[in-house]
Amino acid sequence: MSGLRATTAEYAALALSVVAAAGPDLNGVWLRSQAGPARQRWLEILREMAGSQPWQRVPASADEDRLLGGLDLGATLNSGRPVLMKGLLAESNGGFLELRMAERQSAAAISAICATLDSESLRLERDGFSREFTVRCCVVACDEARGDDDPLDSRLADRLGLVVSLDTLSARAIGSALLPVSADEATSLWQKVAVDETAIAEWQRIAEALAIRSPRAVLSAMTVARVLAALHGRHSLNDQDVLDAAALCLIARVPGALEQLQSPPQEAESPPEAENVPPEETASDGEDTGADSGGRRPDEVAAATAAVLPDQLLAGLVSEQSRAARQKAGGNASASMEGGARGKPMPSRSGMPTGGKRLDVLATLKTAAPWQRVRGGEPGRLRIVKSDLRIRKFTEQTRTTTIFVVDASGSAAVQRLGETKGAIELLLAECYVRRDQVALVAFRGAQAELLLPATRSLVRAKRALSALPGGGGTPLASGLRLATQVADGALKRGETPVLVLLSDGRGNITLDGEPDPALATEQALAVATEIAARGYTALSIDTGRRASARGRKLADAMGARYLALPFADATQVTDAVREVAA
Amino acid sequence: MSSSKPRKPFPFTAIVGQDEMKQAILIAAVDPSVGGVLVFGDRGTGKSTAVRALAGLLPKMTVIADSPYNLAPEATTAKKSSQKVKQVSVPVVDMPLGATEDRVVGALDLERALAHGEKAFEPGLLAKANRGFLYIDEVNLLEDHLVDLLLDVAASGENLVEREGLSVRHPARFVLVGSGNPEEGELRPQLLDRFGVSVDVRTPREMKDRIEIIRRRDDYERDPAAFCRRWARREGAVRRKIAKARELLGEMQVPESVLEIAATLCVGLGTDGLRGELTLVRAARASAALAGRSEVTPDDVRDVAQLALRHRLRRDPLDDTDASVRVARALETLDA
Repeated sequence: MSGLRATTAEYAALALSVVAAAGPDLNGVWLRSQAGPARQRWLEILREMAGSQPWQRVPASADEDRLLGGLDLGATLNSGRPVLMKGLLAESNGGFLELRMAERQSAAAISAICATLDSESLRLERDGFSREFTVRCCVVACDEARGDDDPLDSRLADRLGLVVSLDTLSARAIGSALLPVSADEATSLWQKVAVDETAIAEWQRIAEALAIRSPRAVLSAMTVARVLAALHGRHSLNDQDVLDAAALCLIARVPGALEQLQSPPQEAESPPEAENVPPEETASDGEDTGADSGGRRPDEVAAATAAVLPDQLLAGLVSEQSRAARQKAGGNASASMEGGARGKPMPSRSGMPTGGKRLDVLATLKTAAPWQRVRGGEPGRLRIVKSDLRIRKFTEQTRTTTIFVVDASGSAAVQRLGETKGAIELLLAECYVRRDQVALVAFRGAQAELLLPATRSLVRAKRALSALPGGGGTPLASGLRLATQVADGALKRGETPVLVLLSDGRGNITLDGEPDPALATEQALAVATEIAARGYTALSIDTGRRASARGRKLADAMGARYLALPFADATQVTDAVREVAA
Repeated sequence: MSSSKPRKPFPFTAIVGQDEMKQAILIAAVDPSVGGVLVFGDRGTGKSTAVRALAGLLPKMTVIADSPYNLAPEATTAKKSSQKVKQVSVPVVDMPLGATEDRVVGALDLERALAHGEKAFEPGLLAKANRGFLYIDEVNLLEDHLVDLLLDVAASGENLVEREGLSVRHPARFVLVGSGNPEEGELRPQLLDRFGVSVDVRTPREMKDRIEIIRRRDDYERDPAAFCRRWARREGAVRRKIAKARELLGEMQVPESVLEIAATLCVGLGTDGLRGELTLVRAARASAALAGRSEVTPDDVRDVAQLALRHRLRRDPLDDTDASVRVARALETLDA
């Protein structure tokens, strides 16, 4: 019988064997799990299986020097000539690279790791060294992101072949799978396993259904299926291999999907928007049919998977996936911009530490180190000359994140949204150089929604804006509250938030989503006061037909500049925003 | 689990589909003066693969032996007869994102300075890339100060180094090739404009193509050397095509009608400056040469209009229309 396995523990166990047998060929494993006994146990078992292969650990705090390699200060001082320190990445050749808190690694680190995985070599162009190292390693990316955290960089996530989630498991449930062939033996056998087109088409179809566009995931599924067959001592794939590979490489990419598919269908959350789904087959039906037909041909796998992936569920997963993807890209954009925003220093350059420029001690020492013998320096006494001095400049301005809070309720919504859309794009179009970001919170119906997490990508903004819905009640307080949270997040990342509210100020839905104009107004004012207390720069654009006392009161409570723009066009809005942000 | 050498790159001709990207790269290979290629688009579409495969397609070039800047023999005037020359592959230099400035522009050679007390210049990546290609993956994530530096060098064609008491000037003419994913951040307009041609790559939609991608990639992963051997003939054909196109380029005729069309297109689209027009004509010439012709036709201009112009349109934030669509419209007006 083939079907999805009953528990995530079985997949965790299979993954161990697959990683041990073919880790580098899969680029590695995306370990989605909080730090805890289960994860620790899983890693321990993998380490045992890895035996004498190198295992390098990269803490989230590792800097580029440590990861990529660079001048070894101590050794250089001792020997009097430049000595290279190999980085963790190069040292992991032939073994494993464990990324601690992979989701917090810098964009630069991720770029270097991805380039290394792609070319199986590490090009080092740093500190006067120009070297190339062969690096074939298996990345074990420990991703602890949850909730609002920035997710793992999608470039790395895309390259990691296997996805394993351990959060629902206890340490006792973790173990390795008992398979006929050992991982070591499977390493040399799996490439001989044949794969037919139907299996590839099958994975392709599942990938499409899950909105996984990159071909890398399917390629990994193919490798994983082969390795699984080899671990079972077979030379060709069976249906179970195909499905297991789909689960480990494709379905597991969508958070929670495996768990949902494993549980009975009535427990699976069905999204409200999928109404007209033909109720023909459910997950359990599919597995039943799998049980009574023993030897099925590969094309029947298609039917089986279709059964375990009911359309309704898929629709939900896909929207979840795209939401995750949206957030993911947002995380990247901000991470890659770190240099500007967090006041992280720019790379060192030679120069005198005068007027606001700070001496970069380490870089200065590194520059001076190779010269010590020639200059007659002694141990404990460095001779540093003027030309050694290195300074680091900090980027002057912090990045601004403009958060649009848009009233998408009622009949005027469409037009207002049009204006906002124009304003957002105008702002973004001129933001490249300043590297400012824009976020969008819309409220209508019963609640507020973050439609566009902080981004500076016009492409993404356009996509989010084109699908902007309108109409319904006015949950003004919810909108302001969500915007405050977004602003808090921006502040935490070292950015300066600017709130721009576009509304007629007539809230009629409470924070709980109940229609009650009086309470709603009161709550909106309360949240507005909180915004003022935090001291966020804010602009309130009254989009009502004429300037109103209500609108002004709200703006005052928020400590915002008030602007009545009944016929606000995009340029006016942009100008106003520019003015308050300046 | 360990392999000895870096493996051979995936063959250019084995990339499934992505004809526009391939054409753009070939155009730049035929006529470097077109000025750089930008490949932007989806993940896993073979952007880097195509660029890294480029080195294998280019005819060898003649350089003065042991010239750190790949200088051509005719570039230096004196002592022509005594010069030793050799044939080398055209450099395709991969610039890693973590590269430090000293390695990009070059710096004092520490080893020599310490061992012999000489103040010698150790050339950087810009020197290595002279007369070749400089490839930056994720060009949209490159640090600002490196971007500025590259723009400066690309514009002047020479690298001026003033650091650590050194004062060096050397030619650095290279074709800038950049790739990236726009979802991770956009490219500064100044940098965008530096690229002669630009391509949007998308994941193929056809199931048949997608399966073929997986197939070929897998064949390659299993035995890179054997896979490359199987594609050697097709690679050879492209190599000859490039070589022949380069010869044809010298005698290429550009009729008045072609210049007119190019001008009309650029005016219609409101591209800034003359650069668009110039690139359009150059790309059309290279395209005609690749087709084995010695005269440019108006159709050549139409073929390359998207490549040469779509990234030069002034952005109108209130107009949602995709740049490609705007170029397509301009082409239609041309025909009407």
